[in-house]
Amino acid sequence: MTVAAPAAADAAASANTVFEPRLVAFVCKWCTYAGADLAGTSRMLYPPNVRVIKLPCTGRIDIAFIIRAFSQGADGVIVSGCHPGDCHYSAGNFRARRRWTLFRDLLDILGFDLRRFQCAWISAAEGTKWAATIRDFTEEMRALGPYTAMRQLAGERGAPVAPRAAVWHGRPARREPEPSADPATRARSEALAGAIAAALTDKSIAAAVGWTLSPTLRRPRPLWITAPEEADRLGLPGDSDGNLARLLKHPQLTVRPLGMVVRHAEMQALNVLRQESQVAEQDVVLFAVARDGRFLGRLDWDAAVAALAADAEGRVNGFSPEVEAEVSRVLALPSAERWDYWRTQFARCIKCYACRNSCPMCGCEVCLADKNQPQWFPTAADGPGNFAWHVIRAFHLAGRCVGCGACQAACPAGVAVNLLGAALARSAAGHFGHHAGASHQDLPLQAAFRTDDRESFIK
Amino acid sequence: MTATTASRPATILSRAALDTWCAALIADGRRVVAPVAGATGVDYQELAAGGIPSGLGEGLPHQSPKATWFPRTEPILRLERKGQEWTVSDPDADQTRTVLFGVRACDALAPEILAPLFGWDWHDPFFENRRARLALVVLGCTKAVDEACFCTSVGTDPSGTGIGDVTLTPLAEGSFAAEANSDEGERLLALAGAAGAPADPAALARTRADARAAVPVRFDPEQARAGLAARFGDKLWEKVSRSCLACGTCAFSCPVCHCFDIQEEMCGCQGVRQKNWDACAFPHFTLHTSGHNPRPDQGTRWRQRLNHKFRYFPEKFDRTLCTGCGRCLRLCPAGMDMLADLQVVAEGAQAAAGPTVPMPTAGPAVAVTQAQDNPYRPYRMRIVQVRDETPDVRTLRLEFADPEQATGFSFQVGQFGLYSAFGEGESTFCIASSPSRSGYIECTFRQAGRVTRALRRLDVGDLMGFRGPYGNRFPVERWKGKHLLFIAGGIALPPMRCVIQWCLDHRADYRDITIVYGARTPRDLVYQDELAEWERRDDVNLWLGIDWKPRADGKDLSDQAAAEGWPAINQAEPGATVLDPAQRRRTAFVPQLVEAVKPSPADTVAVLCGPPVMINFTMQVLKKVGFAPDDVYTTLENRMKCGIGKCGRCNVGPVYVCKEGPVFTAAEIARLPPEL
Amino acid sequence: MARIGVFICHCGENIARTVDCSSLAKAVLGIPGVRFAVDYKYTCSDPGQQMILAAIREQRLDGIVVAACSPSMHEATFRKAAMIAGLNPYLCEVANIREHCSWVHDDKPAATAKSLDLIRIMVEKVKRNQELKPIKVPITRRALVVGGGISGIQSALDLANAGIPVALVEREPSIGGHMAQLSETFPTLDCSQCIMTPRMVEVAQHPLITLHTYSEIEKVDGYIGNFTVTVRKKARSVDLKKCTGCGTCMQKCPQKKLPSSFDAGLGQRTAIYVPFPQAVPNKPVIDRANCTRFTTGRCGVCQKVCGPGAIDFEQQDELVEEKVGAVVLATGFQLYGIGEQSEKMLKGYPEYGHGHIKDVIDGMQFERLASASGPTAGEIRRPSDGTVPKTVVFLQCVGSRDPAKGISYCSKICCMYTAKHTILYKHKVHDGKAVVFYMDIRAAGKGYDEFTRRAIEDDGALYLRGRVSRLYQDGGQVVVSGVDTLSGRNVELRADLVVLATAVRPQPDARTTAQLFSVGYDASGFLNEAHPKLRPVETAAAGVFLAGACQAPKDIPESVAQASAAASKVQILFSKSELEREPTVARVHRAAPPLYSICQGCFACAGACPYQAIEHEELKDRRGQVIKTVARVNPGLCQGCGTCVATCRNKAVDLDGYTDDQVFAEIAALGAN
Repeated sequence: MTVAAPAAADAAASANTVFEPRLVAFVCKWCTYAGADLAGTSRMLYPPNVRVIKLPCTGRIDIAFIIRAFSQGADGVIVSGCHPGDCHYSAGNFRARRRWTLFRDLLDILGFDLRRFQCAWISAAEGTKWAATIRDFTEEMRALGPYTAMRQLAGERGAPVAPRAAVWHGRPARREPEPSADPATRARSEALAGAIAAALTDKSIAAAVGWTLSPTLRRPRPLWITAPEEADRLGLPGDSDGNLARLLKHPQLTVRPLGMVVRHAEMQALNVLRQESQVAEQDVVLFAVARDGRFLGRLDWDAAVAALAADAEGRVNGFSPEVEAEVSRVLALPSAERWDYWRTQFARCIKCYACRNSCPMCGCEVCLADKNQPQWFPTAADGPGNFAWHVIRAFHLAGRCVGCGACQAACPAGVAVNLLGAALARSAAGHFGHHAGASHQDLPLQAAFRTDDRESFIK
Repeated sequence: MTATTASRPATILSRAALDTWCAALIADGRRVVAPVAGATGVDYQELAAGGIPSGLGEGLPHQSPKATWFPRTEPILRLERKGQEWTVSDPDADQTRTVLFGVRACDALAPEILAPLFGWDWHDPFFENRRARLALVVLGCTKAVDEACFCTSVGTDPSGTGIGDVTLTPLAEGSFAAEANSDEGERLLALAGAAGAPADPAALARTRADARAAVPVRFDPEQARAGLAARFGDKLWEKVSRSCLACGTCAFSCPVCHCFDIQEEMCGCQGVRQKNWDACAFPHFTLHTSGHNPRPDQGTRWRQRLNHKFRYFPEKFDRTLCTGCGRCLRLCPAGMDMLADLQVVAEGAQAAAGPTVPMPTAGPAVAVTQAQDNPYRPYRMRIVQVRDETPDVRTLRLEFADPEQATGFSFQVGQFGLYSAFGEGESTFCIASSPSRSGYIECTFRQAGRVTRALRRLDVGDLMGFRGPYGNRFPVERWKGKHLLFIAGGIALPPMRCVIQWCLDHRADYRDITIVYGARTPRDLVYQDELAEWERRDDVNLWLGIDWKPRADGKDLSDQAAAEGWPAINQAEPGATVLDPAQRRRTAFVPQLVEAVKPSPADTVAVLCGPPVMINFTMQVLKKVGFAPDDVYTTLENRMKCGIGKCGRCNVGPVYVCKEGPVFTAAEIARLPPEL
Repeated sequence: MARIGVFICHCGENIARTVDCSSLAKAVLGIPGVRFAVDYKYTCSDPGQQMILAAIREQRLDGIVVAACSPSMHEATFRKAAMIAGLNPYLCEVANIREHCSWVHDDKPAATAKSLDLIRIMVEKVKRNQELKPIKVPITRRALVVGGGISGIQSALDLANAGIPVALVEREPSIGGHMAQLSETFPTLDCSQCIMTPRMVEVAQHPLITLHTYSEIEKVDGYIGNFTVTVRKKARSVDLKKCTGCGTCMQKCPQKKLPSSFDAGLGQRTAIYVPFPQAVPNKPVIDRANCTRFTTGRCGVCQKVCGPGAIDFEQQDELVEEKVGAVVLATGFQLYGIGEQSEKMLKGYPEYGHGHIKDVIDGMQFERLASASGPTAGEIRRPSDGTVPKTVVFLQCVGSRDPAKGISYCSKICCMYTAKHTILYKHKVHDGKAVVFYMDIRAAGKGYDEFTRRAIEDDGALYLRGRVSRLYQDGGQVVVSGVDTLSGRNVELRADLVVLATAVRPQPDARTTAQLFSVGYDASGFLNEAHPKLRPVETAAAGVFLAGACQAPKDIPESVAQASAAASKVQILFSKSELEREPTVARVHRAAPPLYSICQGCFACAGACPYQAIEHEELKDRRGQVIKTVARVNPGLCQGCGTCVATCRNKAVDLDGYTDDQVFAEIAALGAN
């Protein structure tokens, strides 16, 4: 990516001279860096296209580094470290391997040309392998030519309107029926409100979060109350895609235990949050509500998980059939079309962060997007900025996204945010048998590893 | 858009004729942005050649077309580095003429509402260029989209009569009456091909009246304004904001929300500085580097949003900052309901006649001369001197890299500027040197964020950016013949050094000059050389304090402090103490030191600057010894981005600190909302 | 950071041949922040270093980049030079333009351009480097030895004799381990107990050794120099202070038919017992699982007969905290056993009768049969009927070197002890026949091969190269059915006794031990050394060392040697009062209120940390109210890999020396030419 038109690079490519790709290598200092040293002491010639960035361990390599390298004009990126089992820090490379697996899947979903991102294990003894790897990689990238997709994104800087032909993935505005209109709905709503009022009265909860209807448009909106007499304002979730588990992070809602109206989506989110020490069993009192609005009762954790899972009819995550179908459709596209699909999707994004702020998993006190030392993402709501935002967010949610759809419902620009989560959930399940939110006892996907995790993609 | 006097009859165009018209507009080299229908609603999109406005009349597009006059991200500066040298240049202006075709009245009014702000003293050429090249073909509404439509409550005519360049009024039979409102509208209509039959004016008027009646008035904006003022401190704000998720949906979907951030990024040797949309709901919007946040929770942020739209902006520009489109209700993921909240505050409120908070006037405004088209373009300054004041505070002396720019440059006491480390961004500091010492400016800053860290990486000979001067000034001529008392704490001496230097350079104009300055430890005192000089002068009373408080390990360092020449003040009777003029270095917090110095309020002006806690306690002391709030001045350091009253970040009550400030009297600050 | 100096080394011709150093020095001055650049023939030479020194001082440089050979060569040299010049050594970086550039490229312009990039990367990094100071960790001069076998005993004695207080923890009621069970030792055939028991007594009497027998490790906190180890002293039910060791209780105990594990199941003991007569401490313990008092509530004979009143049925486990600076793990091994006690272990061998055939025993049982203190007082008598076996068949490699049984390694000691067994047998049963089935004879060691030859040539053991496919009972004998691979014939022998040289296995709870001490372990469960060649005694956990067969199968001299090595490693560690560590460690964000820290307390970092360096810390407000629990990196434990940083989603943790800001700047430098 360059800010000005990359005329020089293109001109060079079109002229008869050989295109010289810019390659970046992120390597660990114990194995691959030393392996490259060995290639040097052994005087093995290889092309001068690679620039090595030395890190202590492959475990240190953040996927944001890789994205940044591409956005700064790299034509190819290679990551390399010690062979499995040889890590100087015993297991950094196992974690890196898991990260690379997910990241490659993510890139593939995006239609990114995977040949441009390579992974390798090169030990301190493998000077020959280092030289050969760089030789091959350089040759391959020379043949592929300059990497223009990122530059194309940069060209979309400051596009004043929504892109042509992007599909709107927002949800149509809906209106909830008035509870008073339907006696069955009213009865269900009253059962729920009654149980919460009772809990507030006997002080087994200090506050409760549930749903109410917004005054003007009569749409479900979260409500938190602290007194039993307020409970009559509570209604049913309706078909709201919001996720009340998000409110656990509300800076003002600090009292515990907190009563919470939970559906399958909330429960799954709570499971993940509990894995991550963000909520303890005693912090919440669960008032479970079925999909049809039936109040399933005030349940303890395991009972609520079981009851809501039964109600979910075996669906392990919350992605709707429409989302799954769209994921399958997009994944079946040729990679260039996938890239185009996402490019136009991301071009819609206005960076309002509604996806993040409605997500029960996005609980960071200061989001990476709001940090500027370093500036993790380009701040602009343009091609590169939106790409970095969505890709890194999706990666941070890999293995954690429960598919509640809150982000999708929240997005005022109709970007298909949920699809990346759904596609990565398939990766997590496929490679690691991991289902986010299935239980509060699972280990976080990206912090754990198995010595026999797949690595066929690593040279 | 020049309004024309001649009345032009409306002509009737069929639906198909509109499609042809769009094609003709595109063929004319214009970008046509129009509603396009999708599976789940309508979206403003740029029409490709052959594209048709398929969403015309299909309700209100999801997003406002704000980006056509105010893009989400807009470059305002280009940077280029060659070796150690930098050049800055303006980005190319967008020359494309855009037609917003079939835009609803509520969206079409937005650029007009924003025009005064973007042309207020400083002209924002980016907005003005885009607006000048924007033509509006307004499609009148025939009914409210839903209950969230409240355009008629804020004075928007949903029929679009007289709004934009052309008004299209849907007629019962599926065709449209097209009426030009301007010369540009005439030109556009001429591209529509053969003129259609004239519309019956009476029927048209009836249709439009019906449209106006179809959108009920839901509240009275004047009452809302009064209600917002009356209920500023109400518990309501905390309650209604409970579900707010602190995202930017409401602001980013709003056609008139215009707050922005300025950021820059480098790629290789080239960089761009750009405006990005920002939102008052974001916790970072007003967060100071120190960690202090004047609007610390969603309640105060939501309150600011409503007040800014329905109270502050109208009082400044005589227009409500809202067109009543209702998107903030429809799109809010948490169901926040501005309309309901406005109805609540408006209920029973007595409409107030004038502004609800008087505008400050203490610090005289400085006349604005916009030296260059692009007010965001900084001067390139060369660093000629670097001085380390403390381990983390540094002073840079800057001279113009292009000497001819220096000749036209002047500033006044108390003004500030935006200093940039190219490639990293801008930071706001007061100009720390006095205009009476010409040829250079100085800034003093503490290493805190990205920009200040980058500034510290610079050395003598390096280039950096400066734009300014901005803001009002200290009324130094009004102070002539008075005693002056300067009180500063820590890193707040630099904003005051300018005025102190000025007064010392015009020493004869003033009577006694007393300076009370304190910091945490002796090594945190800035301007050591100057302090020594002031200490030596017999026409300056300098008092220095350090607040070496007992450390965390319980060790009391006051003995050590005393041994090093900083004896404590007798705390038993601080009020009774009059300090020994022979011992001017003491261990004391600034307020204690002021109390012990016992300044006389008679004929005295106090100037005060420091962290909020220090200001608070010192104000109490000054009040106790009899200073009138009108005689106490301070300079505020709010979070700012643009410095020229556009970005909205420093807005507090009726005030943009960057324009009406940064100099205020204590009396004025007391009248402002407690959001400093 | 504003004044960076760049020193470009020609390395004689090594760099200058392919990199145009002088034009590079000019080009480098175009990098923002570079105020000084020079090229020089040999930067690492003394005049080269003097030049760096002078430039730092004269140019007031606050960071330097030396573009030269690999940092592994001379980074330390240049950092030292920077330090002498008054610059923090961590403000010096090395751009590797030799190994990574001049030596691997032959195109001079391209290599020069690449060198410029490599320097630019390092300049951007060094601009953001921080002054780091080595981390000083205080050291508790006291060591913990886990395991009271010969390895543990040797380590403990070496340490204690060097004046270092030692806590020795042994799980069994007595120290001594496997070596105390052996009859004679190869290749000298000296009596094992004769050389072992004096050492055991020395341990018991050493003023600097605190002995915790019948104890296990409960919990390990802390890090190198500062471990706090909680030891669970299991209830012996006997008050050691009161007990005189008279033995009356054991004589009177009605529960007499319990298999003695010391005798490898061949002998019997009482429910209150000392494992063997020379035990240290020589005081009994009640086996609560088999004591009638504890199983039925009746009985209590021992208490009645105990004069000093030492029997205490109510005794509880006791937790003792040991604060130590280093740990030696000498937890030993176990045999792939057979017989009732360990029947689970031989399940994989249905062809050898699952261990049901009474006259099929393992090597340790044979040791006990041959031992003068054993159940037969040293006479070789077979378990089934007590007769003296006239034909004894020894099978080697039972389990070992057999991936099908899950053990691919060689158990190393079996060839030698089988040879010893044949000799011992022949010495005791002169007309007996000893037949050995072997795969290969591995007798590398001082006097070892001579020893096996002696078994064959002097003592007439019959060595058959081959495998035994089946053992089965036929009348009073065991039929051994196998193949002699040298002759290619099937062999069927009728044996009176069969001895299996079963594999050496890790302790069953070796993995738990490894996890307690954050030590790695291999696929079999043996504890891992830090480096197989260069750091065979250290582990990945700093301050934790290995001795003996917990690491891999070892014989006695090897175990003793490593035990002494471990002891000397501890002494090296303890030779300083403070430990200096590389300051490149991770740090969790802290800020003034109201933020406190951007850490969310999800502890993904803790899951990613291989060193358990992430601790929980409660952040409190001024009134002491807990605001939140966040992560804290223990700099004593952190090794600086940075995996936590990449795992942390909002980067509440960063790695000194390799901060995110630095890496981003390095990446940005790539595009900036």
